[in-house]
Amino acid sequence: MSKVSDELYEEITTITGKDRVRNDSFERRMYSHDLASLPKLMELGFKMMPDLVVKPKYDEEISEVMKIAASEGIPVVPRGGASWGLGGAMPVEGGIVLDLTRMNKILEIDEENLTASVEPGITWKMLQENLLRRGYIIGSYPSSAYAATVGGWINTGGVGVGSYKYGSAINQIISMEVVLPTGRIISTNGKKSSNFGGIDLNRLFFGAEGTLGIITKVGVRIYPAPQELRPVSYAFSDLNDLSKTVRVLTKTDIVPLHISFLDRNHFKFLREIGMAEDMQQLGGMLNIALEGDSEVIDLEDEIIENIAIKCKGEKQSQEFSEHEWKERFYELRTKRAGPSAVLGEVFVPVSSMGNMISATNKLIAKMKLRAAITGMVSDRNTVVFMPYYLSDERKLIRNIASLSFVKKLGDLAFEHGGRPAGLGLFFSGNIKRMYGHGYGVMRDLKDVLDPYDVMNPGKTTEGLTRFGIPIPSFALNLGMNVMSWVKHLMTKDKGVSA
Amino acid sequence: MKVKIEGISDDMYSCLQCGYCTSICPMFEQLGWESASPRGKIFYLKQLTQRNFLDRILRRQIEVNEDFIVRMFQCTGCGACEEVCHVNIKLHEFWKKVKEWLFEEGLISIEAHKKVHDRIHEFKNPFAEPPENRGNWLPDDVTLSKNPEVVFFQGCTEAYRKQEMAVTTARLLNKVNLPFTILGGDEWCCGSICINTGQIDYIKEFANHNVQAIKNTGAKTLVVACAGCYNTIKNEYLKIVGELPFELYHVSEFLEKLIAEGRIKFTKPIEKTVTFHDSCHLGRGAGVFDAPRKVIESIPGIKFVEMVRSRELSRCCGAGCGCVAAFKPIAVALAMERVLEAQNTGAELIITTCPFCNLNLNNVAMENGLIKTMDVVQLAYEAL
Ligand SMILES: Cc1cc2nc3c(=O)[nH]c(=O)nc-3n(C[C@H](O)[C@H](O)[C@H](O)COP(=O)(O)OP(=O)(O)OC[C@H]3O[C@@H](n4cnc5c(N)ncnc54)[C@H](O)[C@@H]3O)c2cc1C
Ligand code: SF4
Ligand code: SF4
Repeated sequence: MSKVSDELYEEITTITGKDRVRNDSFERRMYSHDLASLPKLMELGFKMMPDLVVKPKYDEEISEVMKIAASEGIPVVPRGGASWGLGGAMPVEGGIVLDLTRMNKILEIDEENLTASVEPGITWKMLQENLLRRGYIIGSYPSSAYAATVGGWINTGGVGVGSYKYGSAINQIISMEVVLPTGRIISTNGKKSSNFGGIDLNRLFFGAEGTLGIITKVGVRIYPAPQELRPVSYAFSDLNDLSKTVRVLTKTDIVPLHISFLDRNHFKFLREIGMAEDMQQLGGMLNIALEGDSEVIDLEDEIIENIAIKCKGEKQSQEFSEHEWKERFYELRTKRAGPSAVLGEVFVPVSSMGNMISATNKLIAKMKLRAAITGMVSDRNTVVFMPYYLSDERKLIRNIASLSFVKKLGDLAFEHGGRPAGLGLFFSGNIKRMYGHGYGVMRDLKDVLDPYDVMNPGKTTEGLTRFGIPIPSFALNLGMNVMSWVKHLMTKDKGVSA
Repeated sequence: MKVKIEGISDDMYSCLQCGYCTSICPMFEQLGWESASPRGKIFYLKQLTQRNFLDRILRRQIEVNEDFIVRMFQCTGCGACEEVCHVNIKLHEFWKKVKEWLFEEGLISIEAHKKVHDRIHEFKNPFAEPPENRGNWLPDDVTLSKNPEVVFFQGCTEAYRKQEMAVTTARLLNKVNLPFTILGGDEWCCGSICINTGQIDYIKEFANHNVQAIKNTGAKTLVVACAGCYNTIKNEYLKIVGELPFELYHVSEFLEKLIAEGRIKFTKPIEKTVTFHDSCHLGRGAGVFDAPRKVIESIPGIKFVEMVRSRELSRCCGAGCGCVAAFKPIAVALAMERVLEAQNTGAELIITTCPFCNLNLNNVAMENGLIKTMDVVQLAYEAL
């Protein structure tokens, strides 16, 4: 049964015009998923197809749609580039998907105050390119910048390329305009300068995963484009030496733009698809991007070289480093070797980097997976791990059995003082474990801001209460363990070295 | 009940659904719906190939319907998606395979495409012009050689719609004393549009005919005016006839060669600011980016400026793959975007290497009083 009656459909078309609303099943099907490839059977438990897809252009349109949704109890799911993989932009109870990609304009670039005002559906790549043409840059952006929207990254509480120097998505924001679940339009700051003191409303919506409101405008910080950007890469035969280098580097005064790493297996898979040289001795690659005045970079480059060499790193050619830098947007190039891939993402403290690598490798070996570890150092304190494993979803049982890897990786992160990144639909069951009593406050906030429970329901703070039983947590904890056990009984994946 | 399309499974399953392609696809830019994006189309194809009893139980309507078919053909074949693809899918080939499958299944429902296909079969050109008039553009002052070194393949658009371009190339070849000939009525449409719309039934015959006709002249070099013909002969004919029995040049490459050999010397400076539009066929398709730029830059007086989107990431003019014929408003809108982008560089002229791009861009430019296009050969000829 559609949640959107014919009358409501008509009403909504009067808000946006007919050409920006679709209710046919062909188009709706296109909006029934995000990055994750899910089995059809998921549709037994969730209504992933929206009843309506609307493409708003203005905040007033969103506000009008929200008012109708609130009074009729229709779920509304905001959607940016749909490049997140935790089901955030995917309906679970049908309703309306708001595709925000048509709100993709740069409204203003204020060169005096170093801010830009943008609509939420612009991609980070597009924003960066436009700024660069004027001699400015954005501080940090997700490595999925080609597809990820400004609103999407803010809502996933993201860290990414440039976070080591410029911080996460929150540090890029000065102010936001948000349509609340009741349709009210508010501003979080309303000024072009930072907000000091009082409750920081920017923080409230940062990482809310589309469950507290819809961001319709963002004031971002911009920076003068640097004189030089110099990527440098170091090869290590042992990943422990690589993590040692990182730990030493985080204690220096040097603030590189970006630090990332890739392990031996990643390069092995690249070789399989014809994209890398034979690097037999490689344990892992450390990629560091330096940015600023050339003279300063020269100095930093030298200091880093000393540290890396002491830790048995081998400096790679400038050409190789440049190539690695260009490939920062292509972390899953290797997927073709699967052809399916499942990606996990967890944070741990820098001090646990080495141990986490060993533990992850043990898990990979135990589960007999074809997997690689990649990641980045997002600030002096934190390492983000993004291991992935390759499989073939056409061989269904083996594929589903391996899914437990992501859950187990999360457990490892907890053991090492970290946690999985993001909640969305699939990890909402983790919220209590992550925030303890803080979770109760989050729930209360959700109830106050979204009294009719229409704003992206069933996710983030709501995973524990829907239907009375914690579905995702149930699925993850019980189902995944069973799957892991099944996987254990199966023969090892093709191409896994013993 | 399952849909099976040969040779796409690995690619389809490799797709990460990251949406990089979506962000650059000109069709998505104009239509805005996920179903019009490369990512969306792959998603749906995967659904089709995975159809089973569960779809009925779950009431999932996954079918090859009119909406789907139209979307598959709403593609200019520009190949931009392939350029940014996260997992290196050869998307240009991928789309062709899907369209070929639709054709084989008798599912091509775009009337304009069918019409073009039938016309080419009958008239050897998509305009339904008499095939025997194909060489009528040749002016009296141009002499053809009986022992030609070069065959000039001017293509359908220059033969019937942009004759002045063909004339310029012919005069230029005469001026540099290069013995050449044309095939006249013996030159048939290269078949590019049929290949790019999946309608490949008579392509082999056309390819073999053209290659034989060129061979018959005894010339060892083929110079092609149109980027689309050039890409087709270079990449598609190769698959059909094997190694080509002649050396192949796009006219811009040939000009570059003549300049390098000192056979062309520019004497008249052209004091103009110009920009260059990479044709999708010549650039991403055939990998020729530098030759036209070198020609332009070797002309004295010229100030050359690049557009924001150039070379590998160039923006499609909107005309390709039967888009003008079937989806005119989209083709016009895309041409408008490109002309505006060119205008924003401050240039006075857009230099092109494909008569079809030239035509599509110029129509929009003329209607809106924006900067005009000029073929690279015409520019070079002016400076001689
Ligand atoms: C190759 C690859 C690399 C990646 N690298 C990174 C990385 O470096 N860092 C990182 O953090 N993530 C990364 N991701 C994950 C993902 O791309 C990011 O989270 C991205 O920022 C999501 O943006 P999106 O526009 O695609 O959001 P979507 O997937 O569309 O949405 C994400 C969530 O935000 C909500 N939302 C979207 N727009 C709005 C809005 N305007 N208002 C309210 N809610 C909204 C949605 O409801 C959903 O819950 C990567 C993904 C891929 C495929
Ligand atoms: S070839 Fe061009 S128009 Fe066609 S899907 Fe790819 S990007 Fe879009
Ligand atoms: S860029 Fe490639 S991998 Fe990404 S969605 Fe498009 S086709 Fe799929």
